[in-house]
Amino acid sequence: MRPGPRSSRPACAPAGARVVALAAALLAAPLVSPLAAQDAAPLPERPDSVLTPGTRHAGFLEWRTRVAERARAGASFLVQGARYQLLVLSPMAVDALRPDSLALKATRGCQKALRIGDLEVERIAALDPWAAFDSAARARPVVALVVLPLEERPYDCHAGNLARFAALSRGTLHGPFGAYVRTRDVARAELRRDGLLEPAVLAGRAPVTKVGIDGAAQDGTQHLRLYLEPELFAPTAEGTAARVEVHVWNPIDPEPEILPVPEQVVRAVWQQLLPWRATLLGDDGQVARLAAPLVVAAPRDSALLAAHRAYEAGARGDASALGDAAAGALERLMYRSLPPRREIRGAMLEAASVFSAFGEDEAAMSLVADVMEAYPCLTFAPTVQPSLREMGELARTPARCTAVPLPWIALRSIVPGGGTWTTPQRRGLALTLFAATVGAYLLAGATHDFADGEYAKYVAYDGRTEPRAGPLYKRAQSARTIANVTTIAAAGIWAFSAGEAVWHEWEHARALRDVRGVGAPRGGRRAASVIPLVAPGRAGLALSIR
Amino acid sequence: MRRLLRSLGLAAITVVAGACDLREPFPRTNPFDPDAEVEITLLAPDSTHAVGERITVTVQSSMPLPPGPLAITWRSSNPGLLTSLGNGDYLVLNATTTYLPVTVVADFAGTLYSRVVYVGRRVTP
Repeated sequence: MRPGPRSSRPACAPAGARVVALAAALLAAPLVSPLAAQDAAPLPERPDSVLTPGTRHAGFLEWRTRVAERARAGASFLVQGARYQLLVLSPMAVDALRPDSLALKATRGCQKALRIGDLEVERIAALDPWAAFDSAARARPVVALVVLPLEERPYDCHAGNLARFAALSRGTLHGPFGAYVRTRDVARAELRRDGLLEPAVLAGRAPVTKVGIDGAAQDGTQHLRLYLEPELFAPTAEGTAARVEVHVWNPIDPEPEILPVPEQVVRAVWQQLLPWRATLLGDDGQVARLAAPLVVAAPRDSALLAAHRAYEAGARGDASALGDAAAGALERLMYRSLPPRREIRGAMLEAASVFSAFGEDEAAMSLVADVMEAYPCLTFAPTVQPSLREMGELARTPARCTAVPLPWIALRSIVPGGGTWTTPQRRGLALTLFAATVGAYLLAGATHDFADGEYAKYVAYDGRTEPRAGPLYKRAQSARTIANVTTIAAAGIWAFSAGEAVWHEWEHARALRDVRGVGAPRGGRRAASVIPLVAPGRAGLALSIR
Repeated sequence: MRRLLRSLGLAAITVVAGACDLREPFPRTNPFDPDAEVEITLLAPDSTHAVGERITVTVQSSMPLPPGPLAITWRSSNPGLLTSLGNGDYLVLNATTTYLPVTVVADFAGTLYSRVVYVGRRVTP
């Protein structure tokens, strides 16, 4: 799983479903209208309960402990608004940012810029207002949302983003600060998914530690944490990311500042917990059966290979192995170094296949959408389970899924950049190559002319004037050498543009072949191609399936 | 792969054809150039036989000479015997019955070309 930028996909919900969703949103509107911040009771500074694991959470504590011991596997995300910022932390991210050494590193990084003493640095790094909350929420897979005021003049001095996020997760801000301002304080926050208010399973507040010039202070400014069910970040039934917003109130204004959580963050947070969800597959006695298992090449990565073997066993009827296959594959993808892209793709598709077989289409869709973003031309073989093929079509983004014949590219390369121009979305590069080649040739021609002129002076030199014949010749010959080098450079650019265009298209064609008919049984992959057909009495295109 | 190589070959041939505008170094033909690869010969009579005789030394070059009059300085190794009148003309000022070698020099702005002329007086019976 790659918590990377994602593009939005068009919603493909049937009209009826959209109407229902709209009606639900309208009906819910009065219930979620903003409340004045002062009307709500302040959140506690100590956890008022301990989140006990339910039947669906059994084993989570052991799982996250094992993951945390193996690597810093969680990614955290910072979302900044006009006055506030959100730090979104999965349980693994909470564990990754927990070590005091990271908070110490952040403050040490800022020590010189903010003129802080050594003892003060140690004291600041020891502040951990959320230890009790984290402990109370430890046994449940919950997403922590840290709501902080923005730094007034942020200092980029934290010795890395991980250290910076570790400091932020403890409510420690670095930079020069003015006096306490109520409109920048955080009084209350709530999360809404698709417009509906979603309750936090645990929430609390803690003072912000402002590490400014010459020391740290707590001036009464608060920050909050909301612990939320990860399902709030689940994709919609159509496979699109949910619209998640956080409303933040200060102590005096009745209107909140609304911070939309970017779609990429929503999806990435959800996906971070997929490995855990995979471990639950089949726990409730549900038996899945892979009617049409994917067939992908066996990976070389040992963990992925074990997951692949489990998948194959599941495909042969050992249903209990299927959950292990998805869990093993997705957990492996949490750790660095990542396996080759092809193996990642195969593992994600196998995991998606398993989720789909267990009826967890949201999770499957999330994985398929991620794969389709990296491989927009991927097509499944007709033998692959229909649900997966439908997901692939839903998640497909516009892309060029055809290849231009290489001889045509080479022929077009007779004009510098012409081959590059043939392939779409590279017109800028093509123009640059054309201009560079033509420019270099023009420069070479002008330099040759100059050289010829200087040589003519040399030939006509009659001993009367300065410069003398020797310097005249040197000038002419230097200009000719420069002109020749410029010609070679022009030819080099031309050759590069031609070679690059052919190579690029060859790679593209190879990538297309690689993702065509994915999941077909070995030796059974079918490739369709359209070829020119000339026969007596007719001419046109023929569809050939090999 | 064969298709790729064929296409790359086609592209390479095209480019090589386009890159043929590489030019040879200029020839060094000017006799005023100390590094010129030009053969200069001074044409003059081998000897003179009387006082008051005038000889003319001319320049012959393996390459075309610059057009127009050239700024050549003409000198003699023994101006007392054979003096330069300029433009390659020399006058015998003195001579003995013993023929003496005199070098006539054409100075091409520091590049020297020379030839030996024997200056003497023919004894009349």
